[in-house]
Amino acid sequence: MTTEHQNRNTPYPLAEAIPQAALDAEVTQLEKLSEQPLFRRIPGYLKMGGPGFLGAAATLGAGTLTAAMLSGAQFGYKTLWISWVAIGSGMFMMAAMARFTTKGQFRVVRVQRERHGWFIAAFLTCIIGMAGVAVVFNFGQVALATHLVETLAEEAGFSFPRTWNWPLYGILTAWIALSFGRGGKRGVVFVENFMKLSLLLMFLCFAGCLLVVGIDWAAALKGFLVPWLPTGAAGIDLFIASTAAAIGVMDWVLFHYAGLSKGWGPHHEPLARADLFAGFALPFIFINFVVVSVFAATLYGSGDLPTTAIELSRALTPLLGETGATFAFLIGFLAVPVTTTAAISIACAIGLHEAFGWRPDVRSWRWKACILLPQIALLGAWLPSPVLLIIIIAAFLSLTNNIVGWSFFLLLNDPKVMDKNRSKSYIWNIGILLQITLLNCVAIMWVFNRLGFWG
Amino acid sequence: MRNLEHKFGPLTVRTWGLVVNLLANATALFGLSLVLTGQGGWPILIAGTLMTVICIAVIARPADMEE
Repeated sequence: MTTEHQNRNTPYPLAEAIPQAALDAEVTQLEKLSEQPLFRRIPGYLKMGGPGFLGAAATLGAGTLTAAMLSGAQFGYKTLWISWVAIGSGMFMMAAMARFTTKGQFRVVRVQRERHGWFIAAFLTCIIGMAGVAVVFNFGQVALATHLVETLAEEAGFSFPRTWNWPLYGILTAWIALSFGRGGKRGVVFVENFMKLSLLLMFLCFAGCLLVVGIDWAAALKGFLVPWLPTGAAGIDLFIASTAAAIGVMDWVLFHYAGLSKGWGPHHEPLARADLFAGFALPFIFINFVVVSVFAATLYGSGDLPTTAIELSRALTPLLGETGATFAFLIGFLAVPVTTTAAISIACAIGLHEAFGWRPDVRSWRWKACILLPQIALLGAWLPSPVLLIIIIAAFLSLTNNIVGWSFFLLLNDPKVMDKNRSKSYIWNIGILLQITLLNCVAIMWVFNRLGFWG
Repeated sequence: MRNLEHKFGPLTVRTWGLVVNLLANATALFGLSLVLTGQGGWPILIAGTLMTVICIAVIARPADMEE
């Protein structure tokens, strides 16, 4: 049995510590799984997958959940269909990232830099799309989490204000994120399992609340299957913002590098695709479904609505009636920022290392500092969110997400990069181009808004 | 259709297609903004949408289909 992990040729250093024998065994297991019927294949893929769950944890953050809560409270069940359209349209690009990881066997940012230049690779993809987003959007996660801990303590009969509970949140999320890559594959699997369990907890807690408040199944099914939008510019804004925001640069790149960190190779592509479906898309759809439904069943039609996650959860808890349901909602909701902060911290470290060409080493102080950078947002426990910084990063993101999408689409179709593994599917390319068109629309609407053409 | 990976000036044909698609999207959205505010705009909206569909249909062709 071989354990020559130091000299093994691997595209990403975090996978160097994984023994070749372990990867070979995984490939054998995958080959055996591929011969099994679908119902036996799925549990196997769920167990072996992971980067998809990490991606779902990153995208199901305070922002996405606030949008789901608002959507349910404002429009009832009518916009449930947007979640599967949003995630479905994003899966084509995610499949491209899976191809880069498994068959491409390269670090996509490096290839991007060679083919499309430093500005698109390092600045737009890594610094804005990953590190900038991680730091800025963590303010929202910290604000939500510290508030939820405070409310949970109040419900339990004691006081634990946000100005005191933030270290607890910082330590927990830093510990999870710093575990990534530790001890070779063990650390990666630990983080992935944490994400799997947390996503399950979120779903069970919100589904429990839904059982308490009840669901109008006919309206929910209609809302899930029949597209509906509010009339006028508001409907177009809602559709484009929801579909384009579900999956972005960070999700694309995080999935790719998380797969590389597990040592995924050419034989892992079916696993990577199954992981995208079962680990990324399904949790996103299920959790959106239960959250929208809880708010549709309680706050829909109740007049003036709050607009922040904190105020919305405050408005909901008295309507849940039972103490158990209130606790379930708060605990499930607390899992949202915890998993997002941990996932985006990992993305931040990966992004900064790729931007500056640093060798990723989880034991180095540089890796740790990069992972802890988004924890600047702990200042949010005392200070208001840095509105100007958020506006600048959000503007850059709106204007450049599409350019990064162009870059990945071109790489997938570039014979010099992908050789025989380039896209040979017209449908796949159309799927990616539809998502790119949505991202283009976000950028154009941002400009039109400033020029007074829109809204 | 010639090879989409062929360089035409500083960019490949496929990249130019992405640029034209962006312009087509902007045209369609500009037309839509006029339609929504009751200032006409249907011809612009239709032209932008048609350009978008054509661009996507052309640049989605994988390299293999061109050989």
